[in-house]
Formats: sequence, C-alpha cells, structure tokens
Amino acid sequence: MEQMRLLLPVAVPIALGLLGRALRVRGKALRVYSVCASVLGGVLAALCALWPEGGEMTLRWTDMLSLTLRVDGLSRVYLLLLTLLWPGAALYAAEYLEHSGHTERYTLFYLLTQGVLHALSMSGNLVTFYTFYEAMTVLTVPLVLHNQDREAVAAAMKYLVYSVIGASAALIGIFFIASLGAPGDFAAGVLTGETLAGREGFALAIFFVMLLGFGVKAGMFPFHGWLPTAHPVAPAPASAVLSGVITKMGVLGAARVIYYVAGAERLRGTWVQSALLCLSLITVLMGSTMAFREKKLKKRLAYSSVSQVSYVLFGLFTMTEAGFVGALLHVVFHALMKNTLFMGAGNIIHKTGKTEVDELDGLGRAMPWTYAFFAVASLGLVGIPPTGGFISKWSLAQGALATGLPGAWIGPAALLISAVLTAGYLLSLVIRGCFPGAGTHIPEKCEAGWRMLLPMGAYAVLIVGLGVFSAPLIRYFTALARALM
Amino acid sequence: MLLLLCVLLPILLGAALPLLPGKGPKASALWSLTGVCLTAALLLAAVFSGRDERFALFAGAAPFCFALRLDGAARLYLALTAVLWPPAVLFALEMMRTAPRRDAFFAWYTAAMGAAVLTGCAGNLLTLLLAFLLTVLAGWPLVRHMRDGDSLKASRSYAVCAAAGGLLALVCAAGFSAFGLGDFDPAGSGGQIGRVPLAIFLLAGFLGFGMLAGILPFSGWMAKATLAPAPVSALLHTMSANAGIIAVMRLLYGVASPAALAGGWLQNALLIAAIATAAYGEIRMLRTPDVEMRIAWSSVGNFSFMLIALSLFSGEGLTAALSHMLSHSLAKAALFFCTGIILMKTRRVTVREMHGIGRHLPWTFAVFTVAGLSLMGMPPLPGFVSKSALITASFSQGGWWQHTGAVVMAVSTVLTAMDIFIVVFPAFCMHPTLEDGEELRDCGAAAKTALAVLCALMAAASLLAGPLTRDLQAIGRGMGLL
Repeated sequence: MEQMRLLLPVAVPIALGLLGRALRVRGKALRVYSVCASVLGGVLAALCALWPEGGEMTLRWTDMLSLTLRVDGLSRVYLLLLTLLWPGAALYAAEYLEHSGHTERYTLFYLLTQGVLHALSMSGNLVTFYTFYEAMTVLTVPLVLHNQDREAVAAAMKYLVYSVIGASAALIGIFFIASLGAPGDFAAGVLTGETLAGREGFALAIFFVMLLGFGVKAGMFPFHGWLPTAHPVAPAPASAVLSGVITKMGVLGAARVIYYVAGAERLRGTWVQSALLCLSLITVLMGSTMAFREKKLKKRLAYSSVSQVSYVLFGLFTMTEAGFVGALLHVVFHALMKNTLFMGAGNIIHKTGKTEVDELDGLGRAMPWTYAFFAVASLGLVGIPPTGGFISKWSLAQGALATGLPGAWIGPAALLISAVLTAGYLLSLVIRGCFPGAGTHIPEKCEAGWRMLLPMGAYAVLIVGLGVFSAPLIRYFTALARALM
Repeated sequence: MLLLLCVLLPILLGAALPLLPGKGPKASALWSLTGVCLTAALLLAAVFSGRDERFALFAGAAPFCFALRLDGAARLYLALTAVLWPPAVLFALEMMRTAPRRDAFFAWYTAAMGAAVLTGCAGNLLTLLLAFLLTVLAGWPLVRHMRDGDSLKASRSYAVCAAAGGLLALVCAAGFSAFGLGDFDPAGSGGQIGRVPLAIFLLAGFLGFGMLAGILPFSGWMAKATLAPAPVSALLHTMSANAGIIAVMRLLYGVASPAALAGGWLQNALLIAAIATAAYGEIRMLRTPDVEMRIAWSSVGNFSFMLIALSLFSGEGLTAALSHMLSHSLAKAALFFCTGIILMKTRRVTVREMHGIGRHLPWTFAVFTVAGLSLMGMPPLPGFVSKSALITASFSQGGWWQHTGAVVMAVSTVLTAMDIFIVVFPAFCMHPTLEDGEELRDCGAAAKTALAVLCALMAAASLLAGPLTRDLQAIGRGMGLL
C-alpha cells in the first residue's frame, strides 16, 4: 500500500481534470482552478521524485504484460523538470487564453496530459512506457488543434500519423524483446548474450527501428516533418510544452532503450551507433539552417527545436559518460530555454498580432521584459557562458570526442556551426527588436501581464542560475551515467 | 444433449417465426430477441458447466457420423456467440424497424445462431462441413435482403465465393474422413496419410473454410457484404468469419498434427497465403473512401492475422489467434453498429461527408473511437492484449516468414490508426455541411443499449485479460501444445 503514493502524481491531475469538466468550471474560476490543479500535480510529482527510497509498484495485467511504475535516477530528473515546466505554462495559459474559446477543453487535456507525463517518467518497463506514450500522443492532439481551423486540423492529423508510426516502430521492438522471454524492464542489462543467441544481427536492426521510432517524437530526420507544422499552430503555452517537454519524452524513450534495455556496450561501435550519430548530426544542421531561413517566428522556433533536441539525441548516441551527462543537461536547459522562447513569441503574438520576424523591429522598446527574458534564453540556446546552454554543449562536445570513432571531430564541428546559425536566427531578432536603428517606427508600450511574464522570468533566472551553479547537476548526472556504463 | 438443443433451438425458432399469426411491427424482432437470449442462456450454462461433453448420432457409420463435442476452444467460441448475438438482435430491432420483410430477416438472423453454435461444437470434419453450409445458407438471404441492385450484387459475390469455398471444404472433409482422420483428436484417429494427399486436403481446407474469414482469393465478398443491412455486416464480419477461423483451427490442430507441420514448406505456404491476404486487405482499406467498406477491408486484414497465428503451430500462436478473435469481434461489431447508425441517421458514407457530424452523434462516435482504438491496438483496450500476443508469438518462432508476419501486424497498427483517426478527428472538430432543414440525431435506446453492452464487454475483456489469457493457454495445453 505504501507504494500507492506513486499513483498520486498520475491520478490526481487526471482526476482534477475530469472533475473540472464534470463541475463545468468556467471563466475566471477555471483559470484559477487549472493553475492550482497543475501546481498540486507538480508538487506531488516533486515529492515522489525527492522521496528518498524511490519506490516501485507493479500491476500484473496478463502473464506477459505488466504495468510498472518505478522511480529511478532518470525518473527523478524528468519528474522535477515537469514540476518546473507544467504549472508555469498553466499560469501563462491563464492569461494567454483568457479571451479564447474552448478553454474548458484545453484545461481538461492539459491536466490529463500532466498525469500521463508523470506516469511516463516513472514507467518501469517497455509496455508501461508504450501505454502512456500512446496516451500522451492522443491527449496532446486537442492541444494542437485548439484553433480548429483547417490548418490546425491538418497539422494535428500529421502529428498523429507521424507519432503513431513512431510508436509502432517502437512496438515492434517491444514485442521482439518480449518474444525472447526478457522482461523489458528498465534495469541495465536485462538482455543477456544467451537470450539473444543467434539473433544478434536481427536484434541490432530492431534496436535501430526502435530508436528511429522514438526519434520521431524528438523530431529526428527523416521523421521531423510533423514538428514545424504541428508546434506553431498550437496556442503559445501549448507550443511551449510541446516543444520543451513532449519532445523530451521521445528522448526518454531513446535513453531507456539504449542504456536500460539494449545496454550501451551492445550498441557501441556498431552500425546502429554510426547511423544514428549521422542522422542526429544531419538533423542538428538541417534544423538550424531551416530555422535561419524561416520568416515566421513560431515556425522558426519549431525548427530550432528540431535542431536542439537532436543535440540531446546526439549526446545519447555517443554512448559515453560525458555525452550522457551533456544530453541530460541539455534536456533540462533546452526545456527551460524553449519554453521561455515560445512564451516570448506568444507575448508578441498576443499583444501585437504580428507573426513575421520582419515586422518586429523596435518592438523591444515596447515590451522590455519580454525581450529581456527572450534575450537570456537566446544566449542560452546559442551556448554563451554563463548560461546553462554553454555547460551542456561543452559536455556534449567532450562526449563526441570521447567516442574514439574515426571522424569524431565532425560532431563538435557540427555543433559549432549550428551554434553560429542559432546566433544568427535568434540574436538578430533581439538586436533588431531592441536597437532598430534610426528612422524605424517605435511601437507604443504594450507589455504583457504578470501571469505571462512571471514564468518567463523564473525560467530566465534558472537558465543563468543553474548554469552558474551547475556542479550538483553535473555530479548527479555523472553518478547516473557511471551506474549505467 | 444440451449442445444439440442449443443448435436446434434457434433454427426451430427461426423457422417458426413466419408461421406465427397476426403480429405487430416489433413482434418478429422481439420473438427473435427472446429466442436468442434463451439460446444464449443455455449456451452459457453449457460453457460454464465445466464438463467436456461428447455427443454422436449414427456413430456406427464412423467416420461419416454427426458428432458434437465441447472442449476449451468450443467453449470460447460458444461464449462469444452467446454474448454477441443478443446485442446484435437488439441493434437489428432498431435498424430494421422500417425495412421490408422483417419476418424473413429475423427468421434467418435467428437461425444463423444455430449454424454458429454448430460450428463451435462440431466434433468431426463432416459435421463442420455441415455447419459451414448452414452458415452460408443463412448468410445468403441476409445479404440479399434489401433486394436492390447493390444487395443482389453482393449476394452474387457471396454465393460464388461460398460455392467455391464449399467445394474446397468438401474435398478436404471427404478426403480426410476417407483416410480415417475426420475426428478432431489426433491421438484417437488411427488413419495414415501420405504427404501429397495431406498437402492437397490441408490446403483445400485452409482456403475453403478460410473463405468465411476472407482469405485470398475469397476476400472481395467481405467488402461487398457491407452493402447489406448493418446488422448483417456485423454478423458476417464477426461470428460468421470467426466460424472460418475455428474451422481452420480444427483442421490444423485437430486433424493434422501441428508438430509434424511446424517448420515444413506447408507451414510456409500457409503463412504466405495469410500474409498476402493481410497485406492486400490493409492496402485496400486505405484506398477506399467509404468508411464502412474500409472497416470491412480491415476485417480481411485482422482475420488473416489470426490465420498467421494459427499457422505458427505453437501454443502461443493458438492462444494469440483465439485472443484476437475475441477482441476483434467486440471491436468490429461495435464499429459496424456505429457505421450502421451513421448511415441510417445521416445518410453519410464517405470519410469526407462525416466531417463535423461527431458532435451531433456523440454516443455513436465515442463508441466508434473506443472500438477503433481497440482495433488498432491501443493499450489498455483488449485489442492491445491480443495484438501483443500475436506479434510476440510470431517473433518467438524465428523463421523468415514468421518475422514478416510480425512486421506486417505491427505496420497494420499504423494503418488502422490512420483509418480511424481520419474519420474521428474531422468528425469531432470540423463543421458539418448540413442541408436545409437537415437535423442530425443520435441513435435510439435499443441501439444505445447494444453499444453499451459491447463497451461493457470490452471493458471486461481488458480487466480480465490475465485470467482470460490463462484460460486460452489452457486450451493450447488441452491440445498437447505448450
């Protein structure tokens, strides 16, 4: 019974979401309700993460399928990250969606998704992970098609189709592992040489397919196409969490497969590793280039996510300690930075209705706080010290060099080029916004309200603060990596 | 004797229906409903009595005798018959309210239950052949019930396939019986048979009995049969096609010996036939605009999955096939009920026409979504349990074709998902184009009850997945597998 506490962060947000719908909470009450509910859910998740002994609970469904929730090192990282991000975006949405329709539906699915994400973070085996992964996909679709115009519906369908393709690719692997008689539990080294005997080659292909499948959610080439379509059509707070959080769940799946199911030793040095490293680097460069060329603000940020999440994947695929640490650091920092950036874009759209980057000259004078926070996040994403982005990218580059593969220098070189492009597509915005040059029309003051600025400010502080005081994070991630390799 | 009663009761009640004097508009449906519920109660009594029963007529003329037996697989099939027929009749009660010749419709619909029961508990190949003929005989008038151009076309296609399938099944049944292998009990039958006749009879039976489950080249009728009234499509795509699966299972596991077939070329031939059908069905599904027909093509795919699993000749494969039979029947019946309601209430058939009508028929579309997700294999619905069993069983054998089968089944998850989502999301999100004065209403109480029963059954199948799977494994052990 003691382990039932693991169910709380899953069940409470889901129950509160349904309750709010059943009681038909509306208007201002709904805005307060959604923030309070998501804060409560976040606190429960944090308690679970910080509870000293972790915990595990299993529900046997059939002999072959069991649902397991377990708090291990990686779960803790994800649970705390969700605690930071989910309530913040709820507060933001309370102002952003104030005059929009369908807020009841948005709140319902937002809270349901929170519960499912907590479960996903704590999933202890592949079947559980798949269950909540699919649930996450279906529950986030209403967030994407919030505006319900033809474009949103088309984008939502695209999102669904890509996601389902990815999930079923993962499914093939789940059942293959089940057919070997291995439990598919997330504990390092569940697959021994004996269980794979004679089918090592096929198993490698299966792992490749699984990682490609989880890569779909993370926007990895060649399955990145849905991301720049789906993320921008959602309302800004939803884009923020879709880009900042949901993509990281694909990363979590990839990390679970590489380090917990297959074992890094089995994949290191194989064609699977080389192919995935190549794909992730292609994505890094392609995403940055596309972002650089893109003129629509939110779409630019979405392409930036394509690129940045592949930094994380690249770190995981190096299968080195430094790479793993860098990947997890970048999970944390990219989530914070991308949430801030999308919220900044949301402020601009909400207050001025402008969506093209060329229309934003001089806007920094009108929205000083928005631009300040946006600038901090941009610097972080480029990787300029003392922000967190510098720490994570440094670690990623070290990981790449530690692989010892021929051409290991290509990794850091690609990261560097991409950083230059990032500076080009983000800092140019900040500079043109704040220093428009003589003769530009300066718009009137139109700063966003405190509910939209507070989460941005908090994240900006964290981006710098966690960057300066990064030692505990690095220590924790290193210990995690050592335990796995 | 209870078994014989269960076979004869619905047939006799169906036959008696047109003879009843002076009836109101609902009388024939209520008569049918009563008869079906009565039979269902008897069936459940037989299923849960826990005794393996045998019954034979003309036993002296063996192998040309009429034999019934109740074992694990028969129990599953009969239980499924018992729980699916009453909601189907309830649904028909609402759907056929304004249709012509209701007496004849409900007579055949009731009698078809007797044919299904006979299929489930047939004890040898010749009895199974009889059951096959009865199933087809009851199905044909139902398909052509509306007597319009479409129904007649569908019934012609059904008749041609049934005749060809019946001939092949006859070759199989007569052949094996002549060699003394007609009884479903490999240990007890003493006959010997050479490799060539074995292959011929087995393939004939696989294709012949498989016709009911839409195996190539007999797939086309399954799609055309959706032109019949919705309760008929629901019947043909669940219990009637399940009869084909049970028949093939009897043939592969009761007549032939699985241990001898595993690993040979004959196994590969069966696998290839089933995989080809699965791929064909899934591709046709995506290329069809008509929603009901898309669901029909997905049946072709799903029954082939069961045939693939049966062709694995392992206990896991058998368990998976039966498990999928259960989950697929529930989901598919619900889907056909929903499309039937949509057609009746809105006269809309294509994906495009259904944009925006979800909000006007919320119950129907909610059930459609749940059933569709189960069909796709979304956890925690029963479809996920059965699909996981199917794919795992295929992978665990390790042959090339087995792996291909597993991949085809996994890919079908994507295709089915597209099939369902492309209907559901626009239906809920977009705005409908209504004609002047058109008003869309959800279904009535009878159909709602039928849908609720199916949803309750799906929930039960998901919650009880553990014990159910163990029961299915026991069936495999009963046949000497595992």
